[in-house]
Amino acid sequence: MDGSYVSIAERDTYLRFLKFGQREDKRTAFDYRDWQMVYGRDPGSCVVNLGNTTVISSVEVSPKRTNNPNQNKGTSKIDLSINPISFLKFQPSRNRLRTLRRQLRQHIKSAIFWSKCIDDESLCISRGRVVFQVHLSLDIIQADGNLFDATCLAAVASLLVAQRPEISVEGDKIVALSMYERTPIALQVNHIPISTTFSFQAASDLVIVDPSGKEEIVLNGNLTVVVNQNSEICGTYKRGVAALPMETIQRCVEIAALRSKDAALRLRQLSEDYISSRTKNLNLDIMVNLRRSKSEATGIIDESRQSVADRAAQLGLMQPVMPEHGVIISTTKETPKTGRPTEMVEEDEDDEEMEDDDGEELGGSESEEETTTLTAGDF
Amino acid sequence: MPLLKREMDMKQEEDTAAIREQPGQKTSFPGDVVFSLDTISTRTLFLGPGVRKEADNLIATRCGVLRYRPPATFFLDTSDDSYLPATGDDIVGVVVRRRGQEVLEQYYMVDFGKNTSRQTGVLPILAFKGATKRYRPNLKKGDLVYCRVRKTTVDGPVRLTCTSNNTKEQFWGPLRRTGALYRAKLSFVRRCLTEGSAEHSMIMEVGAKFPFESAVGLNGRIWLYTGFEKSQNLLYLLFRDAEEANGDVMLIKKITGRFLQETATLGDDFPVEDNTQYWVTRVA
Repeated sequence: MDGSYVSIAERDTYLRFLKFGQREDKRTAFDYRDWQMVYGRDPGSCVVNLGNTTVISSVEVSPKRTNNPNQNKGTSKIDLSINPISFLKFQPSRNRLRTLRRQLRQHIKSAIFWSKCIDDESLCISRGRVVFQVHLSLDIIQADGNLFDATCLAAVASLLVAQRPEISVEGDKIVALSMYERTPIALQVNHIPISTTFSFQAASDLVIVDPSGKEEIVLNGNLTVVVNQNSEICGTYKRGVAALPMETIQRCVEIAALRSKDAALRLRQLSEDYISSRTKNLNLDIMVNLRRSKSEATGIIDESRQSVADRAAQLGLMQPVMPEHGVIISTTKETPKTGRPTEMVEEDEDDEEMEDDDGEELGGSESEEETTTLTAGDF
Repeated sequence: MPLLKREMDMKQEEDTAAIREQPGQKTSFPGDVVFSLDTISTRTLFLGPGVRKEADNLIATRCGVLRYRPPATFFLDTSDDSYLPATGDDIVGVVVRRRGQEVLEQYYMVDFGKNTSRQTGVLPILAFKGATKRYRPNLKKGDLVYCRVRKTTVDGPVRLTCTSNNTKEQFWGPLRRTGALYRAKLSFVRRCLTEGSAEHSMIMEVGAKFPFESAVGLNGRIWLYTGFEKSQNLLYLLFRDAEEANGDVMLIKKITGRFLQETATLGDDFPVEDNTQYWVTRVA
């Protein structure tokens, strides 16, 4: 269950290669492993391969209610699934895995959401009521070193092609239109942050880029530099015990800037290719799906759904919902808070301040109750 | 007696010829009849993993290729990459800790798992050749040891030993910390140990011109030692290339030739420092 054992001879083997400027997998010190990225069928899903490291990423942008009256930005949510089984060479201990999960989450937050990679102000639908939530889920399938770069690359790649539904506002009624009614809109991506990881050995001037799984267990210092295509630093993340001189860090940033230009260009090209190929096939997709939904509408399943909705309306449980429309997010007016005791209101405000300081809101599970009852049809 | 022995040898040769005639290089699936025993006279069979005897036939219990070793050892070679210990396997393990109170009851916990998983066995502290209560190897956490699986049980720990009843073959024991360790696939390790394979002949060819020490564990760990840093790195890369060649005879020959050229033009090499004494005398 707990981490795998590493012998002294094995540690020395990998260090001995680095001593002569070689590496265990026949790369040079500043040789980055080749990476591939393939987009999936759904917009916003992709698979990234960096050597043997494989990460699957998907993005879903959906409207969410918010309790914060000052909320004027979209929120983000990161799901990160990482398993000890996915580690190919050395299995980390439970503590190490917990640390790694926290570090990765922090890295993605700072590299993508704090660097304003996506325009979050355009993701506000109604201030203080409904905003878009960017739900980023990352699955680490195989781990063979340099998870930080692979996850960041996968996240950015999927954000480049992610789409959000069109919204129609009629008074107090906010409806998210399905993709058959109105074509979804792509997210506004301001810049493409690319992260590059360097590894160090304490008390030596050894620097390598893109550590493999075997090298990660030997070297005790890591520096991840996130630079976008305009050579602007979007964030750095340092972990480990090795203390670094200023010149080393500057050199690392220069190398990262060089790499990020190529990688960002390639990523942009891949995403544009995907979008253009998708728009060609999209019409066909919609035809197929519409035909399917029509056949479903005439079938038994849909009739029963209709009857349940009618019965619920008769009982006064919920309003009848037309299946042609998408998801109705909010139909009720904002309830005035005058009837509530003052103490409760103060508590609410405290919570909101906390959320403001955090800059992030993870989920809105408390506010989802009404939305779920009103949900009808598929997205 | 000698006549009898010669007769037995002749019988074996006939058997071997009969076995070689049967198609063995075909991939078989579970339930397939991989071999029929009608043609051979010996009834003492040594069946390895993946093969079961039913009437006069050998039947596969998993996917793989049938391998044969004279006189009558059969097993199914698979690309399965998880190690299951079996009695008589030579393995390379890592010492995890020492356990027990009395000297005679103390034992080392030795980890021999494949890449990621943990699998620990028990190696008694005196289960080394020539070890006594006073004079015995003193192993630390992280040391490598080449040992043999003595016994596996369903519930208890895997029992390991570094001794053998056969006095001629006693090469087990602690391995030098300064050696290199290569983690390979199980199929590659099995090919390294099979006589006649490209990998085995590679090791023999290299060893004839360029002396080195090695311990090949069936659990997928290969320990290599030349005494010099650069050549040890080269040897590591040789094994890495050979594994990537995946049994390609021509490619392995090419790799071997390149390795021998490189070692001939190596220049200054640095000896690996090793002052550790694994065998210590303790005065009670």
